[in-house]
Amino acid sequence: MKNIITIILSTLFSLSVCAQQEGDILIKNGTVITITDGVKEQTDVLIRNGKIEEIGENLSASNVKTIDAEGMFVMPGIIDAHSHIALDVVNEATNPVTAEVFVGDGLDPYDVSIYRALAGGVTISHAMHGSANAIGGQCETIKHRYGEVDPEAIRMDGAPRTIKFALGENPMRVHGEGNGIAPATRMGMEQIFRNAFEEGKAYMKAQKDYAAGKADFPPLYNTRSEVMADILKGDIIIHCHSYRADEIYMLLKVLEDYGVKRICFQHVNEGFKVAPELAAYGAHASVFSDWWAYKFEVYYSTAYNAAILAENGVVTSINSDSGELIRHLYHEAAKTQRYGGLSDNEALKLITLNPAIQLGIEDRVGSIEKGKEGDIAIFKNHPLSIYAIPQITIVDGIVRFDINEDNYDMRLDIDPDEKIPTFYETETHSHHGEGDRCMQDVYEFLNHKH
Amino acid sequence: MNNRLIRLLVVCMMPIVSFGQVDYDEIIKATDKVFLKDVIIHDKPGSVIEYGSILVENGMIVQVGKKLTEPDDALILTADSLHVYPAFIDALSHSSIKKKEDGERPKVKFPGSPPDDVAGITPGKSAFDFIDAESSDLISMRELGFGIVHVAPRGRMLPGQTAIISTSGKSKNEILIKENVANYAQLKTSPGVFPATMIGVLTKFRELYKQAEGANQHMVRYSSSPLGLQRPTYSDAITAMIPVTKKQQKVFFKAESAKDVHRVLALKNELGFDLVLTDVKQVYPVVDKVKSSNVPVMISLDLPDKPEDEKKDEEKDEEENLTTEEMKALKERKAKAYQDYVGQVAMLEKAGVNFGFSWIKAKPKKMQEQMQTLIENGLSENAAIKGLTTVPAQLLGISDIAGTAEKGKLANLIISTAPIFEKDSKIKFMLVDGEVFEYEIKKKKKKTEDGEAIDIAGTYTYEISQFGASGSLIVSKEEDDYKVVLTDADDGSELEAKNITRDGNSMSFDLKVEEDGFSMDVSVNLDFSEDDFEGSVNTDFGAAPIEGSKVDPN
Repeated sequence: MKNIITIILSTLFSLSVCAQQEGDILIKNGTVITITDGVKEQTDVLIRNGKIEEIGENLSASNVKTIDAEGMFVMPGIIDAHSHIALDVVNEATNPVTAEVFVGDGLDPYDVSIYRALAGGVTISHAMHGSANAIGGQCETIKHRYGEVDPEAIRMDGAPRTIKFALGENPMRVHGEGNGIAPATRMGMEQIFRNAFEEGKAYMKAQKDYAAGKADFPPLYNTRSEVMADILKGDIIIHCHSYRADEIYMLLKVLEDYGVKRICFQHVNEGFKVAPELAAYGAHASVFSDWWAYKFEVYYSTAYNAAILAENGVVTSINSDSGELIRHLYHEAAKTQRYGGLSDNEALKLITLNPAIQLGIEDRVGSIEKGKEGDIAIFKNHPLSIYAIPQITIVDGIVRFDINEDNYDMRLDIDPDEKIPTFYETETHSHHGEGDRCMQDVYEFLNHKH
Repeated sequence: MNNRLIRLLVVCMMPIVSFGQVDYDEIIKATDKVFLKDVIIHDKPGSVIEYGSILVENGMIVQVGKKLTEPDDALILTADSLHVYPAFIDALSHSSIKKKEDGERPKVKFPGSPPDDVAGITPGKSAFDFIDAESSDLISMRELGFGIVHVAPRGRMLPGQTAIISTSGKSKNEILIKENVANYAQLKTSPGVFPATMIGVLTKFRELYKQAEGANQHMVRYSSSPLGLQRPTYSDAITAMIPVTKKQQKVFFKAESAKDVHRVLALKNELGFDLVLTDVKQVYPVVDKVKSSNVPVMISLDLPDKPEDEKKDEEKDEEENLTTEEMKALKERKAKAYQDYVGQVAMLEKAGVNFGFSWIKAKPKKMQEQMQTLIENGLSENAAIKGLTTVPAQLLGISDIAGTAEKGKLANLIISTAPIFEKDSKIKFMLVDGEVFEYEIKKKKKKTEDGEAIDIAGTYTYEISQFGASGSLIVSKEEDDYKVVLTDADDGSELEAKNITRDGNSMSFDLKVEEDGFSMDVSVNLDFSEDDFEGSVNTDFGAAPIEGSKVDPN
């Protein structure tokens, strides 16, 4: 009898975890920027059970929270394809290949950066491993369900698996300079990738041999090889930190050799030099609007990068890689109109549908369409206007940010013993004085070497 | 107004050195029989025998009840109207486990694949090998009411196998009750090598677990029919995890924060091992989840300070006209957070979670006081006692010999002057394995009268609980000048005081704390009485109380 109760309780429990907090909302009379079906004036959007049920005029629904969006702009929730918020750990910097680790094991639902991102209209971010290693850890696509305190509750269930790769100076500095091991050069980088893929191939073969009765035992379980094998099978999308065109082209060749198709280059500052090659391979690009010159390999850059890539047919997005930039991605997207003359819809695609495609979630989010998830950002003034101000941000039909309820202290976890740290202390503690979240945790690692 | 920086600095400079605080610990022994007469026996949770007697023989309880015949060859303890409880059982600590010597960490050519012991992966090591039977820890634990402690080796991710030991006995073999009881695990990283992060630790744990499952299959097949099969050769770490995968051994997994509880529970749900959440400090946000997981929770009594202690700050702020609405809101939130912490154990009781107490991080020195706080905030005394007796006994598989004061069990008893968690209740006797330990009931500390100069030279322990720092403080006098040295340390580093002045029985001095290029001036004021001092540590960021007591020169 006791067992039955336990089973019932645990079933109830797993249900409550699966129920991802979905709500009903009716947004009335907004200017709806659908991304995939033009802009609709004086239009309503009805969300039920977290999904967009209807888009049209004069919609009504009983017992549903209604938002008056008269004079406001209603757009799909912004998606950031490169971020490190809501993570307790960013870099396991001990090895040039750490495909085995998973930042999803270290999610921090309490991180107030989630709330700040919501205040910039961002509903989904790609929480990534850092760029210390040639092959870093697996990443997690998260929904900004701020207010939930269970790490499980901020995962975007069903989103494809992704993994971080990195080219160039960061892995060379950490492993080559830091430890005197490969990769010390860009040549070495290529070999690291090839070795890792070979490892995955050998492991898959050993598994196949066992399945076919050719071996007595399966290979000893190895997480890294499992993950490399999954990349080879096409189950994991690569997101690769990159700057220089020669290296970007090198990785395309390596992936071609191993038959790996799904790749999104991150930062990709010299992407404009190899845009046709990227397009031909079907590779994607996620860039900064105008951020460069923070290390040697990042000097040859242009604010026209996004526009050039997009015009060449590369699926392109604009990302933040920062808890600050994430608050105004709409503004970053607007810069492509000044530098490259993209249309409103092309510019907004860079922060909605395109990042969704890069994360493999475009059938669920990234535009306002019937059946898609109810992730919405409501703006006063057009989101590409310099006067744009996010008003309300909705995730799965639940208001997670409302500018009128933006209280003093929006943190979720208060340590009764803690005094409020100064900005300086917070920054020096978490970043060791460096603004580069991509390299978080690395300095501690390197300091231990001396 | 932040003390994180200082805490960091102070903790780095003065890691913890523990000193046994033994004031009185005399063993009376003439016969193997002990008779407790006319005592109030709380023989098991929820049950009381008023004015009963207990007969102890050969380290066991042989009779409990009313109107027992008083044997003429027993030691009769004068315990009239005192309260008798089964001695406490520590669900997990490092009591008596030797500290690792601080050597240089071995150089590793490839930090991504270090040897297991450098990585902190030693699940096969036995706590028994690290026990110091003469450790003052055991004496302190006994003095606080513990008869049995469950100890884990020190280390990182998988430090090793735990052992159950008695707090009475002269040699390792004498105190050992059970070896290789459970595996101890933490989300603790290994600096400079893999796993250097918490996500690395979780990955490694999973991998090791799955490797152990594979190794077990291989070994089972090989042992039944080795012909034509590859000989199994697996690392110590993999082999040591096999009993965990077969649920023959529990994992006591340390998870301090609610986030860590989520993470460890997710790991358990994925792999399916027998989990005991250990040393949990923040449990209130996860009570429902813990409840439905059916996993026992061992609470760490590292309670936050009561927010009222900040009153002085508030007055100061008002004076400086800095009290804003925002700060008031923050104070309210902190007060609420404090309530969450002190009320969370009562929440566990209400939810019906199986909980006890572990002492990996928190020291049980203030247990009495902390239990009173928990009881004031809704915990029942009965549940508190269960958490210290029957719950750990059952988890450790020693219910047959410990946990209650019933016939046939080990004679591990607390004899206190009042119900154990009542204010001013003191332990008068401890019986452990039938051995009697008597304690002097200290009278309330009397203030040294003005002008009566005392000799303050000597060795003291000190504790700055707000910074989590403690260690030793030595005051010596050379001619007319005092010298004060604070030692504390994972590395035993010393800080020598400057500008020492003495005024009556007060002393003040300055310290310069340096770490990683930061340096901070700290001024300390101490008021000494006969055997103790109390005072404050003042920094640019705020003040913290410091207290200490003289170490018995013997």
